[in-house]
Amino acid sequence: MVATAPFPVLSLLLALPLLGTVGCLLLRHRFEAARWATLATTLAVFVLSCWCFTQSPGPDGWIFFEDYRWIPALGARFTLAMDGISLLMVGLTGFLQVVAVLISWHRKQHPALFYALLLLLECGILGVFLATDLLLFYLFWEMMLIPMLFLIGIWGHGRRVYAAVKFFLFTLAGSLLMLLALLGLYLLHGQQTGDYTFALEALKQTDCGAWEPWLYAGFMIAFLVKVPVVPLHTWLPDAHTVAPGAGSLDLAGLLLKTGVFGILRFAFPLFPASAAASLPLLASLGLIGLFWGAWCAYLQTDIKRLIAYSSISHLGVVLLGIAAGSAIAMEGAILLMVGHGLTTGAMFALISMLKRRTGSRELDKLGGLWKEAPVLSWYLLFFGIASLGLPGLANFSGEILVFAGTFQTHPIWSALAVTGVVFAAAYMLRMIQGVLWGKRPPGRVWLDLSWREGITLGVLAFGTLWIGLYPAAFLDPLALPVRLLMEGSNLIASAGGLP
Amino acid sequence: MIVPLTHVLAFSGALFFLGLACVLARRNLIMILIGVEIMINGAGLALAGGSAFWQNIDGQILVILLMALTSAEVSISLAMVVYLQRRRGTLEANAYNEMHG
Amino acid sequence: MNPNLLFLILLLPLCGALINGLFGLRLPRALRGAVAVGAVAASFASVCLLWPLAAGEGTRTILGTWLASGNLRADFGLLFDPLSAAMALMVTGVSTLIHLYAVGYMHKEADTARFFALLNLFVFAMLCIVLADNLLLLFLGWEGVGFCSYGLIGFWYAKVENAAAGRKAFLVTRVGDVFFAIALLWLFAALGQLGIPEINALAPQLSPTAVTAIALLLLAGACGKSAQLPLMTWLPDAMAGPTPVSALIHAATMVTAGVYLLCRLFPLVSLSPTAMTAIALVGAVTALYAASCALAQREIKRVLAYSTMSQIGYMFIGVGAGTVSGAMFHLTTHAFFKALLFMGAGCVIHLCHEENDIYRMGGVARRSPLVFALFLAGALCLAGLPFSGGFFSKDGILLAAYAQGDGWFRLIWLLGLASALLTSLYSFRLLLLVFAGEPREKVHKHHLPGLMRWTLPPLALLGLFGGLFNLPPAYGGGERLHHWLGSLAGSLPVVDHAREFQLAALAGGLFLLGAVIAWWRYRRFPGEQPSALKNFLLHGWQADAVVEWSLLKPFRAIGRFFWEGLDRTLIEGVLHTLAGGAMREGETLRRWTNGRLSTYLSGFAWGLLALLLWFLLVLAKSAGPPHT
Repeated sequence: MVATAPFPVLSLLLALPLLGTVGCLLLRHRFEAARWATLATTLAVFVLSCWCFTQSPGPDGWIFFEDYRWIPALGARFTLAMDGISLLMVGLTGFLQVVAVLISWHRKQHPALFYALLLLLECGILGVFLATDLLLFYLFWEMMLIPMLFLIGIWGHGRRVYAAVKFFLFTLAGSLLMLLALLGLYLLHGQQTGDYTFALEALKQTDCGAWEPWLYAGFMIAFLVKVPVVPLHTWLPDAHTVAPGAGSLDLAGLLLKTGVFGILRFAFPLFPASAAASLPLLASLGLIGLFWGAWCAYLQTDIKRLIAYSSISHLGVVLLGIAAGSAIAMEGAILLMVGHGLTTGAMFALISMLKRRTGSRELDKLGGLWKEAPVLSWYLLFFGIASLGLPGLANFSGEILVFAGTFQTHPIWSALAVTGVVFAAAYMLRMIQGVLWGKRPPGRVWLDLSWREGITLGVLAFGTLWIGLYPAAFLDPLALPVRLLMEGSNLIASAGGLP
Repeated sequence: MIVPLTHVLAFSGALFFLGLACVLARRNLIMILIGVEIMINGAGLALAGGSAFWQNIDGQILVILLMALTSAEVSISLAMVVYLQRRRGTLEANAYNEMHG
Repeated sequence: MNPNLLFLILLLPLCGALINGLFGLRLPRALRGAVAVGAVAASFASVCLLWPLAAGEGTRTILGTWLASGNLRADFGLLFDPLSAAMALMVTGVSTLIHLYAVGYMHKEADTARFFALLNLFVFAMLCIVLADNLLLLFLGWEGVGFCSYGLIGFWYAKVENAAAGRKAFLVTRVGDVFFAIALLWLFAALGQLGIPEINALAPQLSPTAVTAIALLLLAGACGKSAQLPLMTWLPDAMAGPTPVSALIHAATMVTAGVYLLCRLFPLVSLSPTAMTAIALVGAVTALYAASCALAQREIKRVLAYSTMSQIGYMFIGVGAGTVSGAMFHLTTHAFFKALLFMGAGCVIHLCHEENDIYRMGGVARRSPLVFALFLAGALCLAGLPFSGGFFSKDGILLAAYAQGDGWFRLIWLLGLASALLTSLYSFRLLLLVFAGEPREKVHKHHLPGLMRWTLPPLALLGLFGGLFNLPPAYGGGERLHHWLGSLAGSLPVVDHAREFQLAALAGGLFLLGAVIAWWRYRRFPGEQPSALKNFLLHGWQADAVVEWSLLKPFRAIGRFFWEGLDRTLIEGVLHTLAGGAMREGETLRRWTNGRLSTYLSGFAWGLLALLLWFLLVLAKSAGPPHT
């Protein structure tokens, strides 16, 4: 297959962070240079991903497609492809990594290594979004784990080793099941057609017979641990709470989305029958996650843990959207992923700024922030209400599409999910109440935002408003891939039939 | 053959297990090495008997090879035993347990 | 006249909010207020200038696409028809006066940038509700006013109670918003449309059960925003905000949004007699409940808050009885006199040195005759002085309820009459306790800013003579509002003029009766006489306690169950057991590698034995008997 771009843009997207990693390791004794090099690399990746937005897809749905020789003996090729869904995800990755670098500007402990790990993480995440060869996908999937393990384990605070190991083992256990399923699929396909290959398009044609539910379960467990779905979610609060700012941002903003993306790109298309049968279960898990996360979030006194539980809640809505069997809901779910990445990423950035100033994340030690730092407080309020789903801001656009689409096929699920907005308001207002209003506890004076922090948050706010008020730029690339996905996976719900 | 093969094998088996018993039961390193020697001799005897029974010279060649190997092994191990005695002052096998988990 | 100019009505307050929000701290104080007032006044001027566009079917214009996915399509579109134009005129006009008042009220306040930004943003959101041409944009405004209300109620955030009051308002109204959202989604799923004119036109296609259900959901949504039973607990506490906020949000605009929603979707709602009866019943019961609570309140603004709740109940009765013009008429006159009352209350509080408790006031008439006269005008309109604006509007609604005949509506009419009596009673109680007699607390001379005084007379005039807007034919009037609304006006009650005069006389009689009872009881301050009944009414029939026990405590308990019970104990317990088990196994196995030569050698021996046994028993057996 011929790449439809003048240069191998997808490979370049992967190569840039790797080069940046090497550069950071070489510059590890001059961390100022390493910092700027990292920023330059992440900006380059972001600009490249923005350029991809201007390209339109080919007839088969792919915007770009690259295919190179890799391991002929196993039948694995280095295949990268980008369609509308991965375009949005790659754009989100590029953007959030720039933000991650900007909020980690003043790392005191091994800064060059930190930036190197950030870039390696970016390479892994981009690979997950772009790979369409199953072995290559698995490689990048595992590649995401290692930098995250070290980011949490070395630069975290509190019980960091516990949280890092817990995160790693949870995800690894799921990934191993996926590996088993993957190999099973590979062998089945090889036995049936005589052609042993890991390519996604070829493996879609396999007739799995009685093995299909097991293979599907193997893939799904790996992805659902990442999403995360109740009851496999307990790694998330610990990992989020102890991770450094950029680590939490990447976890919430990107790693959670890789799980959902994996479901859409691999699990649903490879096993259509099992997928269609499992939709009610997925939707129920989504609803349970929505309420469980919100209820637990309400009781937290550590604001980072509160936002972590809120992520579980939002991803519950996303899961409901992809399991609803409606194209509108699926588009809404993907849009909500992008919106959630921005708003929750911004919240984690704000919390790390808050921690640096006040030294605490406990609600009973904070309060009265508006008087001291009005700009920081305004941003906290803004992203707080964006997170709870105020119309005109990012999360609402995705959520209302999910609710509207789900209502067409399963009204009861949608009505239940809508009541979740009250819960979202409850915990978010509790957090805002505890941080912004009330009296300031005695102690040092808190500075307002610096220029760098202000620009970071301003750009995030701009993105939030854009998705909230004019999401067409993000919804248009989704129309074709979602339609292909729904038809190819037989996901159109047979219930309903309303216009 | 003058002696039936079964007798030879029984005798060499007995010699082997006597050597094994010596290895397992003794705690002094030199005694363990002596036990190993006896085991090797037992094996050599079985080889010689088999060679006589099947009229094949390979068994006897193996016994000569075995003697050469044994000499080399003994010289090295006795050298190490002398070194260990000088370092630790004891030749008890269980005293050397620094590789525990 | 370019229809796109209609967007100016919305965008001018938004620009005011952005200027004050982004640059307000850098602007001089006077400029902040000027920007805010100027923005709203310009918006009002736009409504006046663009008024001809609203006649007949109105004008519909679209700025651009907002959300488009599949067959869901919601645009930034405006519908400027008679109903929305009338409402917009009222909203922008009253807002301008209140913004002027606020400039005077907040002259000692430091953080006016945030205040005026939120106030302008609120007007923008309210105008979104009024002018939106599709339900999703209306929902944007709906939530927007909720957020601005949250920010403004908790404006003086240093006191935690104020912030808590704001949060309560947001959460309770959000419960109502959930029902509204479900109705919105249902309409989209059933009709494929989100545009308001389209929904109104296609509504007959729905099945009767669907219509009733959707209408009831819309009623629940309206109850949240309009503080009707059972979602009314937030309104009395919302008085913690500055007085201009109470005047604007909790008298004239946000709380009337619920009524406006029902009027906007009246063709849909009116298809279901059950829903109409339910709307009227909710309004009537709330009116009585709130009027009874107002009788026992001690804070001047809380009396007015319960009074607002009660009057909005009347508007709901109007909608339920089928007369949109009647409900809108009362909405307008109520906005005038209630804003007047709130602003007057602000003046009174200022005069009494920030004292809120009417038991500690008294004799304010002597201190400021102007404030007394204006407050009196507003209170008389509220109580229903014959031939004032309030009289005609309230009477119109009661007439419509009466005209609906027997059954539920007769009960509703009786409840309305009882509430009218109580209204008169608490209005005069308020007047007597605040203004009459001697001052009960020592006071110092306080200067009232000019802006606070001179923004009130226009409202007093509008309140007293507002009857001219919709004078019924029985009194020789032309019913201008009803005719202006045209097809959107709902039905007119058909009652003969003799009956109408009898009912009006009845209303006038209740007004006098309430005045007489209040005079008899309160002309001399009776002192504090606490009683169980007074306590019960003071706390709103213990509604807060009911909510706390039935909803909040279970909520927290369930949350604790999920977090501590399930997450920490069950799931973490399972994980830690597994992890602990794995570690213990590792410890056990670790004991085998003790570094001792004898252990390893015996391991060799046992392994050798096992292999030999395997060779002899297994392999030899499978190979068959030896062949020799």
